[in-house]
Amino acid sequence: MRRAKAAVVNVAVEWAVWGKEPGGEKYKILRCSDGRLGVEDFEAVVTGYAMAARPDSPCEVVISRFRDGPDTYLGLAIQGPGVVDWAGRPSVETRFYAIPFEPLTRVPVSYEGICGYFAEYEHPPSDEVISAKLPALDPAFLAEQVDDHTMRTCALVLTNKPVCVVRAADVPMLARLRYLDAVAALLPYGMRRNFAAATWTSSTADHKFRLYFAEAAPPEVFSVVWKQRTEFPTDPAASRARHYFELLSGHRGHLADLILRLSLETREMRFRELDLPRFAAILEAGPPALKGPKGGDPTRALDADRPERSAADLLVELGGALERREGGRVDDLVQRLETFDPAAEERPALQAIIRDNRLLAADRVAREHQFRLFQVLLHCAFGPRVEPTQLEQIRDLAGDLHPPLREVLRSRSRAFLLVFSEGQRADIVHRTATNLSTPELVELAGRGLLPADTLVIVCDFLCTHRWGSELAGCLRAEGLLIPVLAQTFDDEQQQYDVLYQLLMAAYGGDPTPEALTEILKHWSRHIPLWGVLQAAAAKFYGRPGTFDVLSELVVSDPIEESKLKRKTKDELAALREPVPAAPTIPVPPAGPGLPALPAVPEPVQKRPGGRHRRNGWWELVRRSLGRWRADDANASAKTEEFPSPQQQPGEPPKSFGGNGRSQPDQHASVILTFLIISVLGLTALYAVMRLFGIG
Amino acid sequence: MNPQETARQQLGHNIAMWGTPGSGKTTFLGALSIALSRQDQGWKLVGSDVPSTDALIKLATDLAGQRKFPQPTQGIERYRWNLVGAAPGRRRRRPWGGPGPEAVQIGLDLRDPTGEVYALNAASEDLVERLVKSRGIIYLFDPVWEFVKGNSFDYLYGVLLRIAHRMVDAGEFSDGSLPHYLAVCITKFDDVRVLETAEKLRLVTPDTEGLLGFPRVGDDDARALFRWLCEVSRSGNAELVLNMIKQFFHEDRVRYYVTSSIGFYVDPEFRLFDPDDVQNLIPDPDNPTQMKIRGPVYPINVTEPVTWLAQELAAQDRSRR
Repeated sequence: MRRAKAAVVNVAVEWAVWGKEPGGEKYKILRCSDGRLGVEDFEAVVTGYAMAARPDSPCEVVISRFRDGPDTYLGLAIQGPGVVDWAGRPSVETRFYAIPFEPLTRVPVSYEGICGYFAEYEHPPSDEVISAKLPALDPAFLAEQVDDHTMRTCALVLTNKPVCVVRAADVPMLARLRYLDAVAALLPYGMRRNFAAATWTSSTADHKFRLYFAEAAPPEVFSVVWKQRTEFPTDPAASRARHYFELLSGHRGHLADLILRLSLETREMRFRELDLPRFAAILEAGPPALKGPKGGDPTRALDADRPERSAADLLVELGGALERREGGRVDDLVQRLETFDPAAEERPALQAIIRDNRLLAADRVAREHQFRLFQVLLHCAFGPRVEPTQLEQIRDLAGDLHPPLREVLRSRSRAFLLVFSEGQRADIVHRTATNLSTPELVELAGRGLLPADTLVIVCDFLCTHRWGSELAGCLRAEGLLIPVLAQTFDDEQQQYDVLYQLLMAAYGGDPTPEALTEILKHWSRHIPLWGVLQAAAAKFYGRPGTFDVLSELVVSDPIEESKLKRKTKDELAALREPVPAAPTIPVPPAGPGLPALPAVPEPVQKRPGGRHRRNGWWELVRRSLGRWRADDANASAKTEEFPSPQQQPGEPPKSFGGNGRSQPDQHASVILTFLIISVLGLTALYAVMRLFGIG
Repeated sequence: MNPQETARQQLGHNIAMWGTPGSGKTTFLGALSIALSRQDQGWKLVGSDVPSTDALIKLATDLAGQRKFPQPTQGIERYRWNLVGAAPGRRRRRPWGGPGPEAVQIGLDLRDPTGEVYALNAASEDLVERLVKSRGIIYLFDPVWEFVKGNSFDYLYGVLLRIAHRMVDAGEFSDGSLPHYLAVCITKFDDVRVLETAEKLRLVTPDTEGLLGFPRVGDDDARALFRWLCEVSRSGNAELVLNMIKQFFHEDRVRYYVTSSIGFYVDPEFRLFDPDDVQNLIPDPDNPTQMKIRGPVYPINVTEPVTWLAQELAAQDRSRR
């Protein structure tokens, strides 16, 4: 009750204008908000519910509904005269508003209320989403609009067959809109998720409206004449309509109460799922405030007399009710559980009850109860927020991530939209990704929660939209996604491509040696992607001498052994060369996007291998000390790699082990010496122990 | 499937209109009844239900009576009409007193979508559903607009591929072609540019069957004209239209027609066709930015594609039974 009396509901409304440009050829989206819905989404909805232009009417309204992933929207199209097109024909302009249904379940609104808000609305010059304050529906006002004709029409609509109202061409649009509102007010509010109506449409339109006004009705729909008594036809569907009408008629005299009660029935309900007993139950059932404990269903009276019970008790009882298939009792218990918010310490016990009683199993719960029941069970087990990282726990409780449960999870968090996005269109996945932060996306990817296709799209999205240091940090935290790439993709070339692009996006187009060290230092050659990682890192570093850094780690040649394409291997071969005297460093393209591979540098003469390997160790140790300065790097490389003109060929460079060695160099040599001595000592100790048969 | 769909019965042969916005799909349907009446060969068009009858009346009276084009379609319009022909043979009571032979009646369930939906990726699902069911398609190729904009391919390719995909799923693409019958109508033959092109290609012959002696392009030559008009497309993509038709449809299920919904100008007083004054669509003297139909409407080749499709589909139905 409290909900319906709220004055307004704040809703973020996305919008679009559909029409022709002056002298234009075709209808198109002229403008739209820059929200979640794109031009294609609006095109689909607007054309799906298009109505015929009515030149003599300045304004007509279409009420529609559509889904975008798990979200249901109520669509409101206001059609008015537009410009003259290329052929000199008058066009119409449609302003379309997409109103998310979820807020309306908290504060129901009427169609007239929405239309009234937007009728005078001037779109802002920018394409921002509208923050609308829609007025709550007024049951008393709507009750005044309900008469015998409206009730009969509503009864016909409930049969799941479209109803066309004829001979109302001269009736003002507002009166027709109120009629639609009055009929809809006699339906459970959740049915509006599947209700489309129009104040006018072409008689021959191939449309999806359940209730509409037109010049004439085709034979397959119910035709009612405006304000003339409707006689129910004799077919079976019409006989059901008669019963619905009788049920509705029983509430004459307190229609405002009925409308209020129906407006609180916000669970989604399809027209084809409705039958007489269910509708009767909805009309009779009411919240405790409306119905005293002594009336109606005896179980309700029993509950009213009982002392407060815990969530655990209710869950156990719910298990029994499900076992006995007591739909009404299940409803009651779910309603009561919805008022609970168990503390974190209670949740393990509740999880155990849910698991033991198989409450989350799909086969135990009637389809119409599933969504609401699973919602409340997840709330009891995990609190208000369920994370994809809890997926294994959820699977454990439910035994299986069955489709209804997936649907509930998808509605709980955007992250689940990605987790359960198998087979989803790429643009939808992409749009969902835009609503998640970089750490969330990388964590989802890193935990192996994403389907392979989605992983590719998410990686692409990260590269194009989230490049930079934040991405680098997130990737490091998730091990550069290496385990998940190894697990998801069989093709090493694909692993290489994705990894290389991620590295480029994370560390930029001009990578420093520190970045390369950072990438490689936590890994050993025992990981499955070692060759691929080295190849990607080498390509990422992308300059001659790269393999000086890498080579000491390479006992075998993992890149050669990997299943990369020959072209990639050839490109990488150039990077094996040491830094030439006047090195030409290819700069990989910086910035967003999946950058193209940098140009292959000119091959240079290769230096003897042993020298390379020692230098690689040397440099790695130095860098791991963290004292390498970027500006020292080239100079240092020069002095070490290329002897001065005074040196003799084959003579070790003077700087190598000479007096001019820097502080980090000295530290490095100490550590190296220590390591070598330790290894030799341990080997000797082991030999002695073997000799004397110890151990 | 929408709620109406479940309740509907198959009332006739499903035929869908296909073409770019402004290619004249609705005008073509409006001209159908007028053309049958002009031909006077015993065929007539009647509505199967009240809305379709109303629409038929309005389309025809707007075009013939008020000489104005129909409003652009929004969404998808559905017209259920019956093509009623004279009974075969002489209408005479049988000697034993029974009723005479019944008139031939071909049901038409015509879908007329707004052209825009053919180019929308997201919006095409409903349309594809209907096109899959419509085994007859009237494809309108507007050479004038193609020359100016060159966008026919955009309105063909995506939807055609979606239909093919659906057919593959349904196992009806095993021979690599769609099972549909396709009538390709090269529209706006009344436009002097189209007429002159046909004349230069020596494809025009006088219509000896008609009273007015209109120029016409025989159905056998229509494909040649179509190919030529594709070559002068602004975008150069119209050739792809021709190739796609060839690739996706059985050769024996495609026919080409050169059509005009309004026909050439005929002086109403003398009822004569003047080869030097053919243009029936001219700028409106009162409003030069708009076009107006100058004289009476004499549709050319409008009934032929429809009757061909109806007969082929009827024959197909009979063979299935």
